[in-house]
Amino acid sequence: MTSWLKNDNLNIEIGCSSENEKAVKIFLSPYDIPDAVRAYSEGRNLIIEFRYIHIKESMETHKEDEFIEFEVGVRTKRIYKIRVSPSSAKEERINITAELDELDSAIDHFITEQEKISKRLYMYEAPKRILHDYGEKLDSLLAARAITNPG
Amino acid sequence: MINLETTRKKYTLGHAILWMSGIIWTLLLAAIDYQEHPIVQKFPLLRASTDWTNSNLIELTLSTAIFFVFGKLLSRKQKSICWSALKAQLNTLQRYVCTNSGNEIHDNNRVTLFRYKKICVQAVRVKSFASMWKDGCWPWTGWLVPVLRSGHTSQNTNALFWVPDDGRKSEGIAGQCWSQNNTVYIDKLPNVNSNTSLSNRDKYARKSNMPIDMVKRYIDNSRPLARSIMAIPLLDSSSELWGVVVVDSVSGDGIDTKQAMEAFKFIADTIGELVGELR
Repeated sequence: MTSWLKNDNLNIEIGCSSENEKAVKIFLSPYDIPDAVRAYSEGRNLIIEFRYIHIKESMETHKEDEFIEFEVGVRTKRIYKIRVSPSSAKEERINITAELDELDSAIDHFITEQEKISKRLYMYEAPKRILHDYGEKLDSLLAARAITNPG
Repeated sequence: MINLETTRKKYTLGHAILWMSGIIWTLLLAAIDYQEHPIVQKFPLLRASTDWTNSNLIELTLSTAIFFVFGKLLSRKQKSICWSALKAQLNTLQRYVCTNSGNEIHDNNRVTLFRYKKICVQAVRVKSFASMWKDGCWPWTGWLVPVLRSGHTSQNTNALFWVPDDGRKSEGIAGQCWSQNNTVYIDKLPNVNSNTSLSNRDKYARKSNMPIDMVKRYIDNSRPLARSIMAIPLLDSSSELWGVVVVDSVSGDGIDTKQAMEAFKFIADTIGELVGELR
């Protein structure tokens, strides 16, 4: 398992109040922004894990397609884990940066499913942004780990 | 506002009452058991008191039981500890968040904890009957009530914010934060004091989403109005929205938002557990 990467982008602006001459800035709730992210391999699968402010809740799994699966908090609907399976038998190691588009569209699809039950859909902006900001770093950590620990 | 000194005193008093009710209980039992004892019979004063105790046994037992329950309620240390720990967390947040707090009066950069209450009797002190009738801001329609503030000064405040079911009507930056369940921030608010024109007072009220009466009250009481405000939603450990943490500063750029988020993230777990205990 790789170590956690601290997320430095804790102020994700999601809008400003037009009635107030754009003076009021609205940021995502700190409960919806992961503090840290890490990635590791589990068999042939890649796991991307997000860490948030602690809330007591159980998890449920949402299978987006045959390759991507989300582990989501029952109460908060926060994405805690993304499990990515290799798309072909030949694929040796999954690269986050190479899969970014697929991950984005999987999250977007997940959002459309959530539309029926939750109004706080902009909260998923945080994990998406983290994947873009830290994807490369996570990949290099995974690659370094694969070299030092090939098993 | 919660007064920590009073909370501690209540705890000490409650503890003393518990001890006393224990002693009284023992004396009552002794009076029943030893009523006919030769030693008791030998001393007239002792005999008179045991006789009196036995003849008023039901009243005395009931009084002791009430005394015991009262002591038990007062000495709920858990609450006292929770409030003290929350205060320490707010002080930590205040130290990290306010950029100019080094050599300034603590009043100028504060962190206040607001709790949501569906019914708030104090609302009648800040809203006139006319505005209640006109806007529907009745005491039972949802309010953010200040319960704790960092530092030791400026502990008395009437800053109540109406947060009705219709989120668009929520008052203040705290109210906006509550209704949106997101962090809300404003800076560079106009400097308002008793010499400020009415139009600028209106501008302040509009920008800060505060009722104009509240702005007027601050000016009348010579209290400085915040020029930068940040409100962060506060959830308890089971993800229920409990209240709002408001950081405000009299300086137009007195809040470091990045540092505020980092500091809040650092203490959020502890605060969540503590407010969960106070439900």
